Amino acid sequence: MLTDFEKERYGWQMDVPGVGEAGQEKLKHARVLISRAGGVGGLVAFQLAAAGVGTLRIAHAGNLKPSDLNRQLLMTHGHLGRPRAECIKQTLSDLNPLIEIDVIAENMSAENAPRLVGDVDVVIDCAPLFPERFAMNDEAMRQGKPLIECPMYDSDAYLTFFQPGRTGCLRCLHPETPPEWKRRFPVFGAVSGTVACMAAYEAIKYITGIGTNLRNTLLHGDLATMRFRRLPIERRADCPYCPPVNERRSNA
Amino acid sequence: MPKIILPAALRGRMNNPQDEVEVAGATVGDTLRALTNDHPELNDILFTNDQLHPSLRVFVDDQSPLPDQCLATAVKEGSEIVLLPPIAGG
Repeated sequence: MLTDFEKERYGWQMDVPGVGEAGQEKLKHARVLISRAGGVGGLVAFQLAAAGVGTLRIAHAGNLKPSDLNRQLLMTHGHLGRPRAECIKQTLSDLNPLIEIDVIAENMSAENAPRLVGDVDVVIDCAPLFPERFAMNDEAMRQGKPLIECPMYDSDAYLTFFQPGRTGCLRCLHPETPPEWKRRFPVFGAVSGTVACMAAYEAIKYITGIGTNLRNTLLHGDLATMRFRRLPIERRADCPYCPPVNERRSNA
Repeated sequence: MPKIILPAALRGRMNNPQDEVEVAGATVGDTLRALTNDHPELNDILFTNDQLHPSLRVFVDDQSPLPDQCLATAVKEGSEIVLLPPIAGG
């Protein structure tokens, strides 16, 4: 049941056709995992907290550095040198104290992925390193959890919605780690925030049942040229990480 | 001539960055070889051991050729070839 305050707080989004009280209840009971709350993940978390997703689990290690602040909008100048996890928790709690915010001061790895993915409904991948992305992908596929993939670089933004049994996975899209990938990448917060907001809406659509998710489709946006394309992507027949196409999994 | 669309992730590696280039060729392989002849700095991103890098995604006229047939895929006047390398900025 939504409280009277919740009905007022979320009233404008409950007016979106197909949402209503039932859709808001779904958001209230949803659990979402976000890998890192940087330039992309921070804005994903901000939007989902504002929308009233009941439980946000966020994995992000380390202490806040000055170079984070051009894009990591959950972070504040006053937290420099302190754990990012503290700042993430405080900012999101200030925005919406009605939701559970479970911030874990760890980055995603093959070791912790089973625990972190275990009880969530949707996983959103916002890590800046391929080993973290692959660890999250592999566990999401193993547990049958939808995975929203939303990387960016400079003015490029990619977005797709992987759903075990219905689509391929990150390993189908990019089987190998590119050796030239560097931890530091060119980024304005306006670009990382753009793909983040679209990724957050993919999660909202999935949870509430409105709209259509980007299954088997890669959206590429180049914000320098403002050219956007929807491109077909597919499951690789020999992918060892994807469950069989017709196998029914939880949330499938 | 076919046109190759270059995303920011590739433009950033070019000595003379361009959003798109027109190149001669009857197949994807022809056009990518023409591209790397003009821009050899892209060769290591696009190819490994003379084969397409397995994580590079190539789309021709908004369709996705099978990886093992990609280089032989025919292109025509006005075809648009989109190259998307893996990125992980988050």
